[in-house]
Amino acid sequence: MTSSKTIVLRSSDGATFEVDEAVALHSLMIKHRIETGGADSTTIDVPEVTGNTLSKVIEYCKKHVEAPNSDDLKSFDTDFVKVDQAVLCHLAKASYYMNIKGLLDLSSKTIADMFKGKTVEQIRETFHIKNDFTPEEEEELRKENSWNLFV
Amino acid sequence: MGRCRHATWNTRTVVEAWKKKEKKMGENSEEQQQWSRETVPRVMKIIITSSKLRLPQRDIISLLFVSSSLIRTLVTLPSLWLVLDFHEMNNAGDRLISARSLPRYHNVKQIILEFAQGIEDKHLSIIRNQFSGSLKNLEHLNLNGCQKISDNGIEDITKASPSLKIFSIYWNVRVTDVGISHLVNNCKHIVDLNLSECKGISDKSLQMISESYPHLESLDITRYVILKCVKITDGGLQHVIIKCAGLKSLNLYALSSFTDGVYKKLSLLTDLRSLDLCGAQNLSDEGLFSIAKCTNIRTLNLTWCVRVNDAGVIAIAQGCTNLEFLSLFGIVGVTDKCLEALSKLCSNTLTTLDVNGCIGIKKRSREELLQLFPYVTCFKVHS
Repeated sequence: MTSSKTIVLRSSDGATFEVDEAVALHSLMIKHRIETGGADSTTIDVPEVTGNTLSKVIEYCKKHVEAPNSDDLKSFDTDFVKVDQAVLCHLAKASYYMNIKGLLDLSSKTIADMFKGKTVEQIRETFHIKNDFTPEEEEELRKENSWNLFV
Repeated sequence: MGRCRHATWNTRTVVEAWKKKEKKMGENSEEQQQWSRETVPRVMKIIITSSKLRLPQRDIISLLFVSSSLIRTLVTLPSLWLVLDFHEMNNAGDRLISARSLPRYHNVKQIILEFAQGIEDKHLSIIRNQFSGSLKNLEHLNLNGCQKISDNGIEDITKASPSLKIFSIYWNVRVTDVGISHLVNNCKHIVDLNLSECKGISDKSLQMISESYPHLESLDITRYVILKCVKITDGGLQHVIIKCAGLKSLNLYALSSFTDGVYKKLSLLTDLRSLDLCGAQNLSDEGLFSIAKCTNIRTLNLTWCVRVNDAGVIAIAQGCTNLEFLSLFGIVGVTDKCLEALSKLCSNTLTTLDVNGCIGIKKRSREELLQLFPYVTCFKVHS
């Protein structure tokens, strides 16, 4: 087998990762960059993604490119998203920016399951969101949407 | 061989780094704010617009209450506000009016009122008059089980929704041919119509439907005939068959008054994929010879078609080679002979086969059927 080409990916905080081109191409954004890039297309900047997240994204791409038909792919995916909501949110953003549909769908579904059926307070707690409504605003919102509230 | 060389990061390190950052975030108010105000809304926008996620209405409304930054983002995403679902809710009429008055529902495409209570003609009249032009994008209206709606309500709601494509009002006995005349006058783009159990409708409606909707794809006129007074006959159905040549789905469940005269005309519907003739007591092999010409049929329900014999079923096997779903429930005139033909010609595609009550077939056990039809997973359709 001929030696495969490698690409270096550089995160927003300067971390570099050397990956096989085939793995990198799993990101359609990188694929596009390589195809339209000039001679110097061996280092690609990914300024929207930090090193922590990029490393996880690469892990995902590696598994899906190198063993796409393996029996444990499903359990890999299940375990892959057993992380907390902050990591998940960053994964969703990164997969959107890097155009990796499988990872986007996976992280999106996991996030949606995290707030499925939850109360407003529970959602805030899960995602560390501050309630910045004034009591008046909240009351107005409640009135406006009373037609749908499950009292 | 894959190579992923990175100096200091591995999964454990990543998780630890995140845990540290999380703790920091709890203490650091500015980061927390950026998270709450920018990151979370941005992520929500991404997952809602870019993935194939479909959030339930209840969760969407909960999200609105979470924070002001989130609600500002969510109300700008059109895909969230295309459906209003009030199925089985009480006070549905008032709820509909309330919701519709909110600007974010201005382009609603689908309204579901299935088995909702408290929805009456007066509410539909208010919708039409107070919100004129408001339902101009509505494509799908489900009024199943809304038994208080009459022809007047139909007039109002159809007048307000000229773009309607899918209209469903099953089990409503008040609607008559007059209501249907309003539908055909106001909504020119109907492709899917469900008038199941609408006892007030006659051949006249079928004629109007056939004349207005040549591109109709799906029609359901199921009718449990309890009274002998039947308003739908061969004549009405014939209009539909001749004019709606593109029909893909036709449901005539329990309409026992049709005869072979009209069944033979079904061969004109070359796009037909699904045909429900449950209870067609007058359907004979002659009728099936014609139906067999609809070679695209995937789903065929012949439950209680008691006049059918081997010849008819064999013709179907020969003609409808992509058959996936077949019920012969209760037909005593068919024998193993027709199963052999079906096995020879359709065993690759058949996944549902119901031959319960077919006492003429000797080899009817599950094991024997699986020998002939290896891909069948469902053996019982009719209870």
